[in-house]
Amino acid sequence: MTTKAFYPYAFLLLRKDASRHAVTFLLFFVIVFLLFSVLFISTSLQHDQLAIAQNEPEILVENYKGGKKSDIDDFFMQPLYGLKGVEKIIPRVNGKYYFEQAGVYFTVIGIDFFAPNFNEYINQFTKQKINLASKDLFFVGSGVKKSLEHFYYKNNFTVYTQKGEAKRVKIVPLEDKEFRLLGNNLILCDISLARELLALETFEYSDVYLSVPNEAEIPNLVAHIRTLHPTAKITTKEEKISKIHTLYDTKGGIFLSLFIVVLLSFMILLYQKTLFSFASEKKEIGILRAVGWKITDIITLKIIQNLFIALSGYFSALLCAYLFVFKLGAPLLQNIFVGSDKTLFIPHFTPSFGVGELVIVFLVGVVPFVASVLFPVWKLSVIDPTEVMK
Amino acid sequence: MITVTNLDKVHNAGQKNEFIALSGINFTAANGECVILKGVSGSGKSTLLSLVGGMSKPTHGSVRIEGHNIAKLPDDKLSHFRLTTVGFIFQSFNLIDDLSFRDNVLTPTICLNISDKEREKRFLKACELANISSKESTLAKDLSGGEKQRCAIARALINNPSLIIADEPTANLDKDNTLYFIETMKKLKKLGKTILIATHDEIFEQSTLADRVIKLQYGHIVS
Amino acid sequence: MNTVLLSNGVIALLFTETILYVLAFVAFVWGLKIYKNWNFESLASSQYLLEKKNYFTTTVIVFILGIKFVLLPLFAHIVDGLSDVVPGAMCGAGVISANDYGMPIFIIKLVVLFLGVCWSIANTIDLQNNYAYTKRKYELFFGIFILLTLEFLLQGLYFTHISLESPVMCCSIIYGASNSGSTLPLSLSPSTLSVAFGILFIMLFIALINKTKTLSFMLGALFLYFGYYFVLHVVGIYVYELPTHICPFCMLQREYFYVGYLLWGSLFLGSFFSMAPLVLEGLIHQESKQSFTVAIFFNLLLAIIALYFVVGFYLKNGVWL
Repeated sequence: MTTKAFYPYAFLLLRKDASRHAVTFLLFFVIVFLLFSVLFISTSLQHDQLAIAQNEPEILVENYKGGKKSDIDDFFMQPLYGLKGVEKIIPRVNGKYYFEQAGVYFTVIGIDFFAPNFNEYINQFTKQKINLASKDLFFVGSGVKKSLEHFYYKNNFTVYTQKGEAKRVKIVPLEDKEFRLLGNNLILCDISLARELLALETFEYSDVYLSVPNEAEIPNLVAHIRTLHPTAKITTKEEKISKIHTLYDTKGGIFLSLFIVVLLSFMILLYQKTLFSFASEKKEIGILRAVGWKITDIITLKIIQNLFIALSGYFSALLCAYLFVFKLGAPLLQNIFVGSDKTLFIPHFTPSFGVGELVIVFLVGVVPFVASVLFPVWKLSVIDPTEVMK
Repeated sequence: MITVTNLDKVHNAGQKNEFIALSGINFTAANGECVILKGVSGSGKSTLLSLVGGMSKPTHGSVRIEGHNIAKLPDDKLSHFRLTTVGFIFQSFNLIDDLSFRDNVLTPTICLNISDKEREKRFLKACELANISSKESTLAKDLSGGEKQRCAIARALINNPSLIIADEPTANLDKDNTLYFIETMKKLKKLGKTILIATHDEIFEQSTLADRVIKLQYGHIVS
Repeated sequence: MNTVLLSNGVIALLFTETILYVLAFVAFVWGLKIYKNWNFESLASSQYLLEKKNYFTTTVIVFILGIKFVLLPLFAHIVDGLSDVVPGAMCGAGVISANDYGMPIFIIKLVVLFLGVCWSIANTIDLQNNYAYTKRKYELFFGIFILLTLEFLLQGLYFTHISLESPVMCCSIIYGASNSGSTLPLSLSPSTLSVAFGILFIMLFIALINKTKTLSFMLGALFLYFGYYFVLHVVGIYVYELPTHICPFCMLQREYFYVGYLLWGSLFLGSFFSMAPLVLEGLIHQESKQSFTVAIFFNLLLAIIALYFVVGFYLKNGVWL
């Protein structure tokens, strides 16, 4: 049973050996910091992707010919209008534009300022910026902006349509936070310009979204659409969300599994270090035992000290990881997730983690830490006081 | 106060390197008595002190302190006994070098559920008895030999134990400090404390401190 | 490979459980030696060594049981989180029923915690009484170890056998009116169940105040049984503010402010501490007065939370559900 004076005394003994524990603290801090950082990035990206998916309609229909994605037209969409339970049918014009100078692809999404678009963020954007409705404006994400500026395209840019025509467009950065979620390599432009860039004729589209207010009807509708278009790829919102979870679980899980290998090495190191510090601490513990400290007092003392090191490493790593990811944007580390494509650079991550993530890191970090020192602590605690008398 | 009956201590019993440290020890010490244990190195003096002080356990026999057989107490009760009933003074002082004088002296009070006020009161009383002050914040490793000794005495006295055990307490002290130690022990004896001292130093037998001298040889009491 | 195993929560849980099991195994092996050779009256050095080893095993067991208390709500949280990837599941109820191993694991975890509580109390009493009950304490631990082994194996089987292809039932099917799994005991109606639970609460409270072991045990067991249905069918619908929403897992989610952890936690702990004194009486012929106090605390906590939701809803809306 600890007394009021126990904890200050425990920290006093810890402080006098601070240099000896500093290495353990630093190693543990680095491990937990990396773990937290990766977890924060992963949950943030997952959160953003889920937010996008939540804002999109319930069913996406894509046409496939010979296993390759193909465009759709009014003829393809015509039967869909007759489906009961479908509130809205929103065709999409989107694709990739190759920026040859940088050797990268930008995602182009054609937006209609006067009709519903497939994403709520875009709908809000078109409502707010209706005065900017123009065929020669490129609304660009930060990754695209950075890429263009690198080649001195600050205000204007010349694009080439599929027919080889050059078009001069004005660059307008997308400042809204919501577009960061959609992707930084994004270009929003008028739907007719998008068609020209993506070689789509009028009444041709990339794919189509169906808005279904009653979730219970979705499986029926999917089955119905399959009979209408047997080769089409139909993705429901639920499937998309599940895929996002699975993707991030898989990525995160592989990382965590590899991390655990690192952690096991740390545990072995810590075990050996604690065991070998036995010699230098033996006299001190022997003195405490000799003056009347119980074995349980010594065990409690040592566990408190180790717990303090572990918890201070944990919390300082948590704070540093938070600042590193959410304030500094996780430079270098984010490349693990987004690759080296500069246009996919993410300047800000959305803080979105819960108690669950904190508990996971606690279990994977602090619990093995304490488990590693249990045996060495016990070995130290049962020293015969007569050892001191020799 | 102390009754030791048929005490044996065998190290590595039943093994090739079995060693009988003590055999058939019987002796008593009354309250307020000072007993000197004499004998060459390896005679069993330190072993006997550690058994009486509850620092180790005998192989056979009993050690009764104020009627309680401490030989078969579990560790927590034995530790509590050491904490409250025994004050140990070691040959090499056994202070924690990187702690201050004050923290060393207070070490035995940390596990006791007493108020800070009581703790402070005990500290001042112990320093008064050991006749040392104004060294509170000095690290133990920076104290002189005599100061270390007095720090060790203060630590031994802080919980007002009824039994003081000293193992070769003056082996590392000069003559002046030795005499000073003896005077301190006389003071404690007057307060009714029972004192056991293991020593080679003849000066203890010559002083008026000792009531009895027990001589040990090869783990037996010879006189 | 089942991608469920790549979920962060599942990895963390299985990793921690593995560490704890390894420690438990070491404690078991050492415990067997201690149990076989323990003789507190002996002055032999071998006995002193056993006493020293006893400190290690005790520390390890306390550590394991302490972490287990954290792992149970985490298990519930992880299972609930898996509802995003398991088709058909809307909450943990569906995921738990994804295979035959789910519910048994939950029950074993609860039994381990209950026996762990008993062991902790027995350990405290043992230390206060010169190791008079060490052997009985280890007997209890050996039983706990068997359950830990079973739990470890079943947990591995559970997570490796969750299918991401076959849809599972959601809570409205599992606990819905048409399903027998949700039938109230003795065919009581929710209002009668509430009255019965209230009477049981008062009787248990009196038994705990009077520290009567046998009565506390019996009433505690009934309290656990009826309490489960009370929380599920009465309190739950007020938490969800929907008379048809009957689910033990949904109330663990963020949108309900994780109140499920408090409700289930206080129910289980209150029942455990009510039943513990009789178990300890049988094991070590000693009683623990603190158990009664702790049981009163958790049972009161459950009552307060239940009243907050039920009566609170009525006061806010003027109707009962």
